[in-house]
Amino acid sequence: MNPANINSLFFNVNGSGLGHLNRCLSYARRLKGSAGLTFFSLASAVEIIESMGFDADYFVSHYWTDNSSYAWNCELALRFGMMLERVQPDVIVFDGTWPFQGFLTACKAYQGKPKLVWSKRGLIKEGVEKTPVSESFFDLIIEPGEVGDEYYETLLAGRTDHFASQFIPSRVTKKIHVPPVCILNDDQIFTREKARAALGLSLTGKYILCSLGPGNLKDVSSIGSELIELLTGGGYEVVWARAPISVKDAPLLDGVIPIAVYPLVQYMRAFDGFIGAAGYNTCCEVVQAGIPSLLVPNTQLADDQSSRAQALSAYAPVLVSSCETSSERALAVDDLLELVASAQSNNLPSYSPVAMNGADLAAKAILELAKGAQ
Amino acid sequence: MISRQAFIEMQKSFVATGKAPVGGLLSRYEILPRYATLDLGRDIPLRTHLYRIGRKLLNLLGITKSVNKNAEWRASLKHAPVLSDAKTILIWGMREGVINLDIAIPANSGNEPHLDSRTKSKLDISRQACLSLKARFASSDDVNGAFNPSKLIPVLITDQADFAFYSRLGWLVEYLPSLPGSGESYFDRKLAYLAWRYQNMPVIDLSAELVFNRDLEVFSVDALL
Repeated sequence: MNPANINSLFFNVNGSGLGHLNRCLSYARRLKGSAGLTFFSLASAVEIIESMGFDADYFVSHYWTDNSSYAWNCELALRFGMMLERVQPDVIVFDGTWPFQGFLTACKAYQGKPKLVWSKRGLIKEGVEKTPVSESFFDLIIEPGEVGDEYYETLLAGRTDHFASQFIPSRVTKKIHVPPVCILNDDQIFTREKARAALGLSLTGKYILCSLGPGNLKDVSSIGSELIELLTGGGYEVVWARAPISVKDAPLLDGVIPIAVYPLVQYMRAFDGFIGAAGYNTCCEVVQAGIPSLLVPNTQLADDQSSRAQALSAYAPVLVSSCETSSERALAVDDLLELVASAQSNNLPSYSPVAMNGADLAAKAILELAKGAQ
Repeated sequence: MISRQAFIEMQKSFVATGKAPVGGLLSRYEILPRYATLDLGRDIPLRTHLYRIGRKLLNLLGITKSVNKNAEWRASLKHAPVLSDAKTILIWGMREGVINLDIAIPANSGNEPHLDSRTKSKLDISRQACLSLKARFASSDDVNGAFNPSKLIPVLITDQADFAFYSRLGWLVEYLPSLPGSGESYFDRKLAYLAWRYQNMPVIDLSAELVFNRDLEVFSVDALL
């Protein structure tokens, strides 16, 4: 249904996890019923998009392809151009660290002149190469905030008209910083009983969920194996979440239960505890689910996962450990199981409620921009 | 729904005529070298047109090399190593063609609760067919029992969204969705584009009976090379 006849096109890159796709889906879900919604996905997860009721096409990511950056961008421009001419969007939302040359070329060449939005997660580590793409190229910048962040707006004076490539001092780019962007609202997360039933888990069993990422960039199998042994030694069954975009599944020890569900947060309350990397969406979901969690920051990426994870302890029962050595892993698991025991005896501190409605605010801004484009 | 044979006819047409896909796609979305970026207005700027004419002249005279229009597109993936002279092969994995495959369906592993059993059964047929074909390709590489990087770069052309499986398959996937909108069907347009992009590549069915020549090059029974 598209009563206002507004078309939105989402472009999500393929990162180390599903974070970029997750944010685009978060915006799109809030826009359902208000706009036509289509995805151009570099993440190998199209069935996830379609299962949520959106149309999608797929193009192989630059991380996966063997092509040079130039050849890949040339092909991207053509493929995305075809999509633009079909969907005829009023607004395009790009979620990624670096808007690609192929993406920008296609946007410039397309005759429809849609509004451009850049969803740009922050908390980038110092020393990481900054993207040469100017924010002033976009009509709206959305900064998905970290847990505890509040909404604020700024205006960037002087905009580049991307279709004329002219810098116009009087025009502005609106920049909004929103609270965390989550794919589900709190009331959409399954209760413990419902989640266990959906996953086929015993209502009385003791389970820890492990979601250390796809393993495409960081090898998680060795860390995972040791953690699994420690957890099973502690009397817990381990459930291992398999990411859709993994190119190779980590071999699992006997007795480990693999699951492949999305969104994972919907099922998190099934578990007594959780172990995961400290990516943006995982951290948001840990706070939403409220279960005792051990976060293992991935230091190979551009975002500062260590800082993000450390900041969470004010909002949820969270521990942080790099788990790089056997002794660190043993200590981390001991601490996690102590936290689990505290939760089970209702002995956890109370945490202040925190705004998690970033997706709603961002979707509202996107819709206002799209309406203004018509 | 288009057949594999019809797709092959499209490929042959592009080879025979040398034409690009219709609609001016290649011209509109061409990436220019940075030093030649001369955007002046909303449409393709006049200077850009003049630059392109000049560049074409220089290409014809052999002074410069053509870019983009004939830019090589490699279908190989970083996580699926192939030999430098590996050949691209297209695999026709459209839903209609897969339904009639005579393949035993493995038991439901039960760890995809979001899929109903009917959907899972259909996907299992495709998955098994892909894995059988992959094993067949691998056996062609298994010279003297040692693993070799593949001689083949498979590209799956499909309208079935099963990307969690495809991620692990190690094949490039060219997906053909039907998108709502006006004008020419997106499915048809993209299909024609793929026929042009991969115009010289053989296309086999998922169920193709494969034979190998003495050099361990693979062909399907109804060979297309």
